Amino acid sequence: MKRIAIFLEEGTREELDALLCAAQKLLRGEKGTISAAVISSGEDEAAGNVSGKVDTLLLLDPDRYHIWDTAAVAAAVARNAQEHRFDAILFPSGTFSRMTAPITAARLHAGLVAEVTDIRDEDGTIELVRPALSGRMFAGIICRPDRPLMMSIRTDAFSCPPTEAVPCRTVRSSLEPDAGIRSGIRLGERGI
Amino acid sequence: MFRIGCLVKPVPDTVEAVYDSKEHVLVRNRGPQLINPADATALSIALEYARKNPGVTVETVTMAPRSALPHLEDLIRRGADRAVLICDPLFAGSDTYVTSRIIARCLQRRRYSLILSGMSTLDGGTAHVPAQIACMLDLPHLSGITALAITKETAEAEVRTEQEILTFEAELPALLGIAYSAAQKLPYIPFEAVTRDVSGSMEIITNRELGFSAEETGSRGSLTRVSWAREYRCNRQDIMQVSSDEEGVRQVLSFLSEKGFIRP
Repeated sequence: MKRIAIFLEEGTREELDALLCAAQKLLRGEKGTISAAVISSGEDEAAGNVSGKVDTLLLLDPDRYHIWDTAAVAAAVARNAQEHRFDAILFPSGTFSRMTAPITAARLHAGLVAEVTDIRDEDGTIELVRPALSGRMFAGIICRPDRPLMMSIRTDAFSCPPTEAVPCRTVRSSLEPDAGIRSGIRLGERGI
Repeated sequence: MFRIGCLVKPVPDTVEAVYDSKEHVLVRNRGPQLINPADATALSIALEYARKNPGVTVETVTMAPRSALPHLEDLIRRGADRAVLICDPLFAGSDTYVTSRIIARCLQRRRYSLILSGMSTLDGGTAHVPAQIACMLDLPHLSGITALAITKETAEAEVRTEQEILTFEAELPALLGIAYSAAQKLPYIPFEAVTRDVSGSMEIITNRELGFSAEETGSRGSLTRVSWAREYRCNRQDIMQVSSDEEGVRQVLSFLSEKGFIRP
């Protein structure tokens, strides 16, 4: 487990820290790299939160990508994953990541485990723990080892001590939304 | 013709469910079952639209053992025009990815103007299947929908995030995931329909029609597998009583924040 990608839906510090905690559990003390992808211009709070905490920050242009356009976002995340051959891809269990994650997994033909609350190493095999039957049970899930390990995590279930800052390379994604992807979803009103 | 497909799944009663700890699967043909509540919400929306718009038909599509047939017959008696059951021993033990492939291939056999589904199920609760089917069928997708207005060419959908309420317009055909609503109920079965023979409106689809290989389905084709599963027993907690005043509200908010249900 060497290369891990995380996707940020909100870009908040809490979300980032939870995903980084899960990523560190996957690395199991080994040396590896963590890349983060977020829809951001690079000038906002999300980019500021991430900078210095991951090895690579991939910025998806907010003029071209929208968090609710899950088909396009998933296509970009999948293409990035294929290019960089990530060993694992982590999502938060957010409103839109709940759609983006399974679509990304379908594109990569990879197994996906939802709502992960713990990550365990069982004699070298990674088990992802999640609730089932409306919380009446907990299950350990294993993914096929020849595909990226994919999961969405319950961010409130992961808490780790802060790690040291690392040199962070920021990359403005040149990924154009795939012309072949049919979104068909348009944002209307926003309200509270 | 405006045809609505509704993905419907019978799920075990979460209290009485039977789990095979050896095979790591839910024993779906034992124990009481109910229609997944969010799927029932989605179906009731479809039936309501069909009632108000002559010419609109509603079909349910279900992947389950044959023990699901009585549930599907009842859905026809409640107003669905047709029920499709995808059932084959080869499909047992399929994970969400394989399940999505199987259902997607079945849906491709008919032309749907709109496909509705519950956003997640009581048993697995992954919310993977609607999104993955939409991807496989190249359909616009949105989930977590709390209100839906359907027209012949578009659907206006409301989605609530933690911070705001968003309204979207989806081009049809689309696959939309509906959040459970206690206010949106399936119609009752009319008295005269209780014993009606609806077998002519049912169709069972097996792998003969869908054509998967054994390696593509069940646990062999799955990309994830259950390594272990254990029941979670709640420990009895001391009851905390709060008063219905400012202090009580503060205590409840503090509890919810501490447990992670709300942000501080």
